Amino acid sequence: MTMDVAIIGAGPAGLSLAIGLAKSGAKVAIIDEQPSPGGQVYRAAERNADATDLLGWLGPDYAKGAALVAEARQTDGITWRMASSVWDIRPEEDGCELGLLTAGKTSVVRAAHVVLATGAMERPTPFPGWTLPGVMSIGAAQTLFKDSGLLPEDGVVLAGQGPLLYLFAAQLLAAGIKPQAVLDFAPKWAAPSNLPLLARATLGAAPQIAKGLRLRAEIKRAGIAHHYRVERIEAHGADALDRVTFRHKGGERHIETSLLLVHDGVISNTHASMAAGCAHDWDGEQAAWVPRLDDHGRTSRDRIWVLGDGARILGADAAVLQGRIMARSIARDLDPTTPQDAGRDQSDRKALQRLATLRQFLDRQYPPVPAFSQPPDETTICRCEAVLAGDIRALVRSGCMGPNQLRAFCRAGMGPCMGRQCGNAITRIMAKEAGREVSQIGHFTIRTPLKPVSLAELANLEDADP
Amino acid sequence: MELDATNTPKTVRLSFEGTAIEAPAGATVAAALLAADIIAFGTRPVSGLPRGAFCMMGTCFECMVEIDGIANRQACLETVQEGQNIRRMPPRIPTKGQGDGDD
Repeated sequence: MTMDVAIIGAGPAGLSLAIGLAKSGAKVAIIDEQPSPGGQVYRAAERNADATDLLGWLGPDYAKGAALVAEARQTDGITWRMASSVWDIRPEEDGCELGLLTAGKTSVVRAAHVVLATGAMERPTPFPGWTLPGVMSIGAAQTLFKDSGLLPEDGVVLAGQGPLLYLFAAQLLAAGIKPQAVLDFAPKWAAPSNLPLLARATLGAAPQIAKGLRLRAEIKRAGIAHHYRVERIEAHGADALDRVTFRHKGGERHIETSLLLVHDGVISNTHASMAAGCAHDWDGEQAAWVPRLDDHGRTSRDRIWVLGDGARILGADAAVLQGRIMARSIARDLDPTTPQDAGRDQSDRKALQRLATLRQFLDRQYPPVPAFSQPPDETTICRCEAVLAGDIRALVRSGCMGPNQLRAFCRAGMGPCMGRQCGNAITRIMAKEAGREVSQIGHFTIRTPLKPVSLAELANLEDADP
Repeated sequence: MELDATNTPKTVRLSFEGTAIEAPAGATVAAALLAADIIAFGTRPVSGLPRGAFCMMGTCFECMVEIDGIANRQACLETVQEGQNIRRMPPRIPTKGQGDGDD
């Protein structure tokens, strides 16, 4: 199959770009691991389009997803490759070759341009006991809610910080589920130094700021114990979670629960852009690696672009705007005679700037939780290979220079997740222990295959030329 | 966890370790197991301790199970199918420090 543009990721960024490009006449393929489009934020939006109760509980921001997905579905010229994982991204002279895995069969898609719209993932939240069954991320629980209508029972405990913590607590309350407690690592109000930024964010994005305050008011109104400035948490249990201990206002406290949901913000999912060999930089404000991009979203590799939260966390609304802008840029690359649309470009970029100011405030208000960034020695960091924070620190002290060498010494990042889950945490722990900048420590080198692919599946390679 | 009945149009029957469970059509295998109160999906290769679904978006690989005889399936990425046979994967316990770089 040979396309003008192949987009990896059918979230808001990828969908918006696909719509724009297809309308300009380009041959577009959109690829996603999920069986239906929407990404994580609009997960199962199509299937839930008429699920009135669920839509009411999840709120209007999720409901927007169904319209975007429907618009993309109705746009001619988009080839859909859902339920397909990309295991290889190979830059070629005149474009790029992607290896796909769909239901046990491998195939190849060739495209003149490849756009990585791989979105966000939750920042790793290592703390003692977080590997016990019964501890999950808040994003995971929200996915179960959207995708399968699965709800936690009363008594669930939410911990961490950030907008999703408040949003999910309010969504649970709307669905009639009462969390036992919200263990919030953030302070209740913005620090005085952050107030000017809050004022600017409010000017540009008043509805979003108002939404945040409303969500918190709903938690309070429901009478849920909401502890601010929690300092650390631990999960306990033999084979599964039964108790959470936490430090709050100088005292140790505990809660009995069988489900603890944790969240510490989201970071760009850069696994694909790293595997493609694109240059990345450490973004101090977001405490994450981000691909190095020009003003249009071009990476350091020819004909490979990144857009949406995979480029830098700005959220779903921004991803849609970025998709429109990039569609115009790529259309001009494909056909230089395409007329410029400076007016729409400018208004989209202006709207984007307002959302960027809001994000800047959120990044400063919710910097990574220190207890998760530098967890105690006994904490598992690499879940696949059971490597502890103490193992990593000991290796740094014995002279280990970076994540790639670490991998050889202790297998951290060599399990099935290939460092997706632990990479960000490992880099930060190594930097702190070595007393160096994160940018000097670097990240795991990511190589093909991006996803585990069996020899039988490779032997099944079919050329998908139409 | 409990399934909300308003969002369950059709039911699919599958089995986990030989025990029959039901799930709404369209649900992921991971959701089906969690709804049946199965939270330990397998054991950790190094420690032997139980593991369960964590991220639900294909990142962490903690939810891997054997589906119809094929190992290493991410339960959070697979959709339930009628008659599916889900099993925990046999434990892989490498000997630490003895060059087990076979994967």
